[in-house]
Amino acid sequence: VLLVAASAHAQVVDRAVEDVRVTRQAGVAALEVVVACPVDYLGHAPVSGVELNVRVELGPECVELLGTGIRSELHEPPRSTINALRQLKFDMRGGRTAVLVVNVDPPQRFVVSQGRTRDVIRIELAAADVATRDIATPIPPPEVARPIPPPPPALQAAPAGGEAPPPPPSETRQPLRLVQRAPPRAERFALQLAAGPGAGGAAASVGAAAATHFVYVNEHDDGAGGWQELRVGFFPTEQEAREFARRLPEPYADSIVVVADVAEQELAAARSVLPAADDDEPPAEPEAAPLGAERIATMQAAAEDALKVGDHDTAIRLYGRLLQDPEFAARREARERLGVARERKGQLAQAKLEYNAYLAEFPEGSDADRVRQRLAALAPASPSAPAVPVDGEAAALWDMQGGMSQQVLHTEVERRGFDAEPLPTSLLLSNVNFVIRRNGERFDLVNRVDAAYRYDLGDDAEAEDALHVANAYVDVTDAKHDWQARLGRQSRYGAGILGRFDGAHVRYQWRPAVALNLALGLPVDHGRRALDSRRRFASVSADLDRLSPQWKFSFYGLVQSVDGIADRQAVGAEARYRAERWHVVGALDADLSYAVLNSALVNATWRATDKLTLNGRFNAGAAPFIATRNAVIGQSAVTIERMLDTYSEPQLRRIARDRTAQAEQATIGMSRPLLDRFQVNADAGYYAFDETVASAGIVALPSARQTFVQLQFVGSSLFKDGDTALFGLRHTVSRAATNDTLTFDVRLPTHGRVRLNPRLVVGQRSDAARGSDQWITAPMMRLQMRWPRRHQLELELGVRESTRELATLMGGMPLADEEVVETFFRAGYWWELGR
Amino acid sequence: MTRMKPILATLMLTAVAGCATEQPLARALDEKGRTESRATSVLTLARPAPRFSETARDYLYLAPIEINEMGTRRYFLWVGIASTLDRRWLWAQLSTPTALVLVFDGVPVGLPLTAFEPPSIAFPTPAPVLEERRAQVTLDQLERLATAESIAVELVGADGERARFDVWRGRWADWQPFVAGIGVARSAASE
Repeated sequence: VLLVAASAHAQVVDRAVEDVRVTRQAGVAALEVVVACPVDYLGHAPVSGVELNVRVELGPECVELLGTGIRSELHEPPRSTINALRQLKFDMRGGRTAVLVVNVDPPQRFVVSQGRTRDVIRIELAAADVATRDIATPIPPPEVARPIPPPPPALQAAPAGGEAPPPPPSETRQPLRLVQRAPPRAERFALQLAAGPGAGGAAASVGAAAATHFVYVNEHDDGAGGWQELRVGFFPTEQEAREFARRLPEPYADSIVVVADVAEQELAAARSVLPAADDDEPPAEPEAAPLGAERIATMQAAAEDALKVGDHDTAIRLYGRLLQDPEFAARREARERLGVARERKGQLAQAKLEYNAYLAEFPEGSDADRVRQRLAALAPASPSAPAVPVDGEAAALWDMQGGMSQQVLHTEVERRGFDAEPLPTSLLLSNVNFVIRRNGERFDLVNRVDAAYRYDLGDDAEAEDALHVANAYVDVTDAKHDWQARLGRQSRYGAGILGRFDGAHVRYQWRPAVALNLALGLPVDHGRRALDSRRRFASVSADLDRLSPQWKFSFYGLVQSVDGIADRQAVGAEARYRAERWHVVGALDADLSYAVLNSALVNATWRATDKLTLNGRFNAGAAPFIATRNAVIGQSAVTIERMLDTYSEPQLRRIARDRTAQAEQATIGMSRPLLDRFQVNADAGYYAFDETVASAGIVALPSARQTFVQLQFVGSSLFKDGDTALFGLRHTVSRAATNDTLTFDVRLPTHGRVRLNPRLVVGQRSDAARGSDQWITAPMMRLQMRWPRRHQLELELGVRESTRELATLMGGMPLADEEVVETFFRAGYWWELGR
Repeated sequence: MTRMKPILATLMLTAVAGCATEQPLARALDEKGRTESRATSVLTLARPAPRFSETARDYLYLAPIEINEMGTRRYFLWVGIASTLDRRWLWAQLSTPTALVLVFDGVPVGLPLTAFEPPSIAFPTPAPVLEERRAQVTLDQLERLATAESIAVELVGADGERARFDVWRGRWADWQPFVAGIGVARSAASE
């Protein structure tokens, strides 16, 4: 800290010199020393050399502010301001005069004058000739932390009993303080000339237009390919940046003015591809002292080691420093390796410049050819050669996903008013799901198993324990010959296939726009059954995917038999249309042997605006799809083979038609977000089933109509960040009854990784045919805990209470309400296989 | 009738206030003596997360701010990062945002994000803001934002992941009154 011995009346300030500004005008560099108060220039000496003394007289304000004591301040401006400037000292030696001492190296000529204002002294510097250097004053060692000489013993303390010591001198020189101005800690402005992958490569075209500034490249390596910003800076104001941009060549005249924060300014020198030139100063590159042979050898070895171990920053720094040394001999090697280090670090633009610098310096020789190859490889500013697979990547070809879960379910049903005991049911459900993939150069392999096992925990010996297999297949794709085969239990909806089957499906890309499919198999009604060979099918289809960018078509034919007789003979077509806002699917399926239209379907989705989506669906046809096997519906004989003992094939086909109704279905819906936290979904639709025909002992089913309206609000982060709340209302009207159901479902984040999920369903059903009203209330609470990762525990409790008010009997006798209470409990875990 | 006058006056004032257009600028003096001007409209950008939810999504709120400190004017984008997804539950938390990338007609500009000093006037947002950041910008950039036809916005996380956001509500052009407003103030100050 600066210590000042000043008069008692002075308002002592911390620093006399407030600022040392550097200006350049017409090729002349000048220092403007800004003092905290007005000073008057008195004179200076010498006119050239390495130390300048400027005498100034303090104005009255300075006397008031600084006092008239002794004051010394040492300033060491950053080297980047004016290279020759070493330090500046402000010395008050008592009284109203002060001296500014300016040290420079190399020697300079000095022109000193009063600045535009009285608090500024202007010192112009110009390089002196060599002869001047010989007579210049040597630079004194920096006056840093000079110790205070102890006072003479006579002044230290008064001898005992002696006279009081004389008062200390009123003016004692205090140690000098090194006042080095910190680099500017404020943002400045820059121009972004270009940006994008390889934008740094355009630096050369900026050329002389920006020669007085730093041209540098910001690298953004964010894992998504990376990109660069080519910038030029820096400017104290945005306006100056804009004016500078107007003077740039056309492609850069509209450059974006950006903020260059302090970190960017500090890094700009390291990133600079075109160092800022100085009008009248030596190059901005810092002057480097000779390293010496021993130091060079050490640094060269360290640089090589750094490059080998991938420490590119160190390698760049060391090679850069070595190349500055005039005694460094291995420039050829270092120049190339500096380029390599930058290339490996991803600084492709700088690497190009290094290689170009190499070729400019060493244009001949085999090494030069190699560097040219390196340069050529960087030409499109693309990543270097494809990475060679390394150990461990082979293992990544295999990928395994899946998991397993187990749940215990317990339910009890109690009919109040009856003496019967509640009916309990306890089950243990176990599920496994595994998908194993291997992606090879030619073949991709997928194995998938989805299976469940149901185990009855109760005492009921008649309960069936069952293994249910939904999928168990192997899928192979040959990329070379463009075919795919799937063998095993699988599901497919399309090409006339109606779901799960055991068998094989093969797809072959016959032409670029045409794929052929063949499927052979045994339909599976229930996943828990093993192979059921009573029904067999064969399906062929052709997919025309690339005839038009927006249209896809598929045509198919299918034959299926059951117990040796014809079951289905279907043909059909599908068309899909996809545009920016439209997605439409149309499908036709007809059975030739029955001459029945199974399905005429249109499903359309229209994204009317960015937020509003409308959808509609219409389907008319048979319900279920016509098949001879429909003849067993309602029969005690569960196979066609057994019915053939009683009926002929034509009779069975007639019965099958009688069991099949004609149906229509139409729905429309919309979905739209509201504000940022809500979404509303609305749907309306109707179903219509024609009556069936009585035959083979089965009564006819009456026709049925049903319409519904459904409204749903979904809210997110309503009560707590991340929560979800659903409110739904559904109104259904049929000939027999009217139903209203209200649903409220909230998932609340609680402490840590626990979520609470209360739900409530309230329903009301008015049965006009029976004259009854039924109320259903079902509160449920689910607790979920997801911890540790890939594990989840669940616990759920619920009650479903139904109260039905029955109509009165004839004669006015009221019937008791029917009350049924069903309670259930579920506990389980879920585990996902980690990859 | 005399009793009715205050009521009528109140009704008229309310009606007039309802007809008045919203001021593009809101100004306040903060505790450090700086004048803070901000746009009254916040631009909302969103990113769907269909993998996790059909209804919840991530949001990015942006608003321009001018801070005038003793005549030195700086411009910032207030960046509010919000989500209605339960990302913690999904083990899919976003990494700390470190930069905002604005792509002007295909030209990206990276803006480092820094901690946000709470403004004197809070920004109302429909979804709760989980993190606030700010990015220093230039008047030139604000003018380009306010006049550009389309701007892509990406949020860069500490892990290098880039998340693209699209305009969900509002328009970049809504900032034109703000930019014009601070431009007028700037001109007046320099005269």
